[in-house]
Amino acid sequence: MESGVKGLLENWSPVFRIIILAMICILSVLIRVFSVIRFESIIHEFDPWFNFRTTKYLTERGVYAFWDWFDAESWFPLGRAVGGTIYPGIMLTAGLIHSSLHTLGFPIDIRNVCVFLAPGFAALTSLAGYFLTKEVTGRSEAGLYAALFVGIVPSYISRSVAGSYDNEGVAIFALVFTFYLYIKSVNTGSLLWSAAASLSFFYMVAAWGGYAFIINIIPIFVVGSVLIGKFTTNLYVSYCSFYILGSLLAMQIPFVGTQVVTSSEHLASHAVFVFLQIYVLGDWIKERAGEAKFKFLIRFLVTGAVSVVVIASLYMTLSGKMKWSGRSMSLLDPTYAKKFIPIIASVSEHQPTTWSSFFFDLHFLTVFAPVGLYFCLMEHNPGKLFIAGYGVLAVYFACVMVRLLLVLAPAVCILSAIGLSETLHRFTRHIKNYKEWASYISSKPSDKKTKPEYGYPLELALVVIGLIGFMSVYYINHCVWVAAEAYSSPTVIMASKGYDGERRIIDDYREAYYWLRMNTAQDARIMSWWDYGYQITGFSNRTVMVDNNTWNNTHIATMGMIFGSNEEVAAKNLRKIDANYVLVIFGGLSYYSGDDINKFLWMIRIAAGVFPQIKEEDYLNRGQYRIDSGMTETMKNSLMYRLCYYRFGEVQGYNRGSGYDVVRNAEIGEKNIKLRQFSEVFTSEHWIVRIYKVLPEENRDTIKPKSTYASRNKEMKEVGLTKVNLS
Amino acid sequence: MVRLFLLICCLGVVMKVQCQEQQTKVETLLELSKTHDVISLTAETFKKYVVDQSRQYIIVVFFSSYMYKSQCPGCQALEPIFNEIAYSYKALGHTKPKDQNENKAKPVFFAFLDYGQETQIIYQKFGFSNIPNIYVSTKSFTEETTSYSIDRSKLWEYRDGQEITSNKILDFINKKTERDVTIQKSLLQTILPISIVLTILILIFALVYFIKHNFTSPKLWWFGCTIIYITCMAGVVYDIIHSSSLIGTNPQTGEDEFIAQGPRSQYILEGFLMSFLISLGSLGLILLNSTANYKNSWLMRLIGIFSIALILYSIYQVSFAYKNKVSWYTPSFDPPSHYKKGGLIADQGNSF
Repeated sequence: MESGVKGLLENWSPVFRIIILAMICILSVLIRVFSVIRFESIIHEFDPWFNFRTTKYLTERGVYAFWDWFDAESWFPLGRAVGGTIYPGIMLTAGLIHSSLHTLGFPIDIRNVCVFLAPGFAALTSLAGYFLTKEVTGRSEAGLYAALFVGIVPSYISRSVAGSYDNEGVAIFALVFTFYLYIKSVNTGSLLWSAAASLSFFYMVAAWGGYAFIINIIPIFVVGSVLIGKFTTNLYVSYCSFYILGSLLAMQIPFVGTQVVTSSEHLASHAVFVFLQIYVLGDWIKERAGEAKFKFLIRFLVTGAVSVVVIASLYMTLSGKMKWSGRSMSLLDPTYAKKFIPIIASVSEHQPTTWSSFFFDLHFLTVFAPVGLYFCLMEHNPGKLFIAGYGVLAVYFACVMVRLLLVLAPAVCILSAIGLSETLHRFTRHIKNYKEWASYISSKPSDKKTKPEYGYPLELALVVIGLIGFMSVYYINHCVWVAAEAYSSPTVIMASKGYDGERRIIDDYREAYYWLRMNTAQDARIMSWWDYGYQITGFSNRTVMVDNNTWNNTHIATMGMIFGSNEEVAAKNLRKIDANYVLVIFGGLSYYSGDDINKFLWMIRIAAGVFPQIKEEDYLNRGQYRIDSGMTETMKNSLMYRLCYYRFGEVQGYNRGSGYDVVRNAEIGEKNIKLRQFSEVFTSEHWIVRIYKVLPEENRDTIKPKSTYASRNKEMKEVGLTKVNLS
Repeated sequence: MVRLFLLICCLGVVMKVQCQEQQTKVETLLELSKTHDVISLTAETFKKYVVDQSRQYIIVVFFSSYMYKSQCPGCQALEPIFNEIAYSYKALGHTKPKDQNENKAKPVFFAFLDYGQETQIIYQKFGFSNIPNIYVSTKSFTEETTSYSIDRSKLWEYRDGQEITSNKILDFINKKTERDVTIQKSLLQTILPISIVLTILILIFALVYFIKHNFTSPKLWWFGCTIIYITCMAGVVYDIIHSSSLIGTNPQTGEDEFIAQGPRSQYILEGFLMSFLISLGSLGLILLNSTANYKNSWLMRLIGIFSIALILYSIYQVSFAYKNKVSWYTPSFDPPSHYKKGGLIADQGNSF
């Protein structure tokens, strides 16, 4: 009877596997739709708004128009050639889904496609995680664990909740899937899998700048394998075909283009390709020439080659022929960004990671991963070595930049899955064999048969399994809680709790953007800090000066300079760049801490890099950033201060004096602000968004006929001292 | 005549007493400076040794604060420099009393006045609005209700953004004490950098030698990987960029604080401790796995139980520390409280 049940279960196990996988996929979609349920189906944050806008353009005008699109609405007066400066993967994917659904007769709105794209891809990622782990370990239970972990890991949720329509959402799938296909090709040595891997890599290149990670980690893995003596023909075939196809395909993306050849981010892949050829050639020569001669040759060649490579790369980097892009540089030298590029350092997701971020984004996986690492290295095969290398490199990158936790997450998930499934595998077999073992123990010494292979105290095995179950449950609990509480708020809408505990929605952003859309001229130019550029173009359909693309540092610095200058200078500059409105975000009334006053120091720092008249210490009183009566004169006169606190002195707070800023916890220093060059045209309900119109230049002062120069000139003429200019 | 004699006697006694008092003051300071280069002052001793009349020594007072050191880059920079100068003076024998009447030969002592509840009145009387400051007191001064009658030229005040270099401070103190002292380094300080460099070199050589012979051993790989894992998880890059301190001080209570508040900040020790704890949990799991290979024996049970305890301890500690660090982190199996409030329409679907 029992064997019958066992047999039945064994027969049905593939079905169970599929059911479990399907459930994991559903879970990973559902865990990401908190934001839609609690708020609404809306695009979040900043970058997704640009992606959404371009996707809309794509679906309305078609692929070719999209490819050639010159966007005059952003970066006024420069504009932006969108087709050549973006990673089009996510837009094309959404556009494809949209059009195919329409062909099938589902008239779904493009916004909903965009909103639910990332959760859909999360389900695909967990499938990819399953396949990768199964390929690496050869065990499907490890794969199931990996699928579960990848599907709900908080770090990935943070970038792929419904509405977070960003490159990373699809790129992580492409990353994991490329690795799966590549491992498959290493294991089989098949050209087909290699080609598939490079196609998947192509999709990754189209989707996200993080493709540089793949094109570096695969060469590192190949070199590592060769160095520890694990060179196989499979490796050679898979790498060479992947490299050639992948590099050629990557060039097809206009934004990448010739960077494949010129950028140092690709250097490793070229070098390893050459290295592999030399290695194979060396093998062949060794076969022909014999050991002793070969050794001499090697010694001679290696020293020569190494010095040539070092000198050449040094020369090319120094002479500027080959450039490390700022972001990659800050990976290799963590202090680089802080020193040289404030615009990169100012973005919070470019900050280095603390241990608590690791724990928050990976939770107990941080405990499980080293176990997986242990098993990957101790019982290694190419796939396991690859995963281990990926994990170790990614953990370094993640430690340099918070946003790269996202790249680390799949590695940690897979490592954890390997570790846990190994552990469970060891302990469950003790339970399986328990009856046999018990009968062996209880039988008399005289008729002892052969000792069963596994024996372990049942209670201890149960405790271990219980412990792992407990930790997994806590991990899931953490993930769900994080998804619901921390990562599901759509930035443009905020929720707060009233005094009676009732939930109130703060919708100031949309209120203001809608006002702009309805009340300003079609070609009005809005000036704001770059964070809000994408949202203004997306929501209000108006032209902005700078946006989140940050490709032109000088232009952004100009904005910082204008915000930091006094009203007259600012107005003069604003008229010069032809801006009509100025938009500032102010949270001092409604406790919104991510406002422009808090970002102001970064604006100053960025401006200071270009405009020498802006100095950070002018805005600081004895090293302290203050807005109360202890602030500096420069701070008080700066446009940002005046626009944010205009008429704020009239606001009477609860139990506080007038003009009390709740974010900075201080009463403002200047309560009676009079604007001469600007007029307030709109302030949202909670004062979060304030919009000002730049007034046209005042009439010129009446010309005084008796100015000093004129009178003196007249006098001198009378005495005959001035020459009459004849020419 | 008798009266006059008596008067002279009295005067003599008084002067003698005064002299003795001075002597004792110098001696106590000398005694103190034998163990500490910089003498810590309280409000009381400050009055006695710095303000009060009758003394034959120079005292250099350093005004700073232990408590707010982390928020005061100037204090951090000046403290080691001041200590160094104090050490140099002592090493060159300037604390010894020689001739007590000439400034040039008076003994020089170095003192530190911590900013606190009792001492803040002194700070106010000096008219400081900022720390750190240095005052070279060559003679005693009088105390008034709101200020001291001090020689402003002998006061060094810190201004924001001012660069503090050891040369500038030394020049200032030298000029005011009228002597020519150069920085002396203690033997330990001269040897330390060299020995550190040497040890690191030796360690690297040992490591290279070791690795060369065990290059293909997975255990070595695992060891290396774990080291990288622990250091990265400790957030070293964060520590480097933000130049965090080993442990911090709580701004409210002034006590040592091991765990920085908020998820976006940390101290060096905290990071390494937590990352080590996390790895301890992993070590427990690996140990547990290794027991599964032994046959049934008491040793295996012991290791098994030990490693389970290790895992539990690690995850408990880390979760506990994280909850302490981040106040809003309250995961529970129930939906959060604000999910259940109000009707379906009012709550926009939260009563799901």
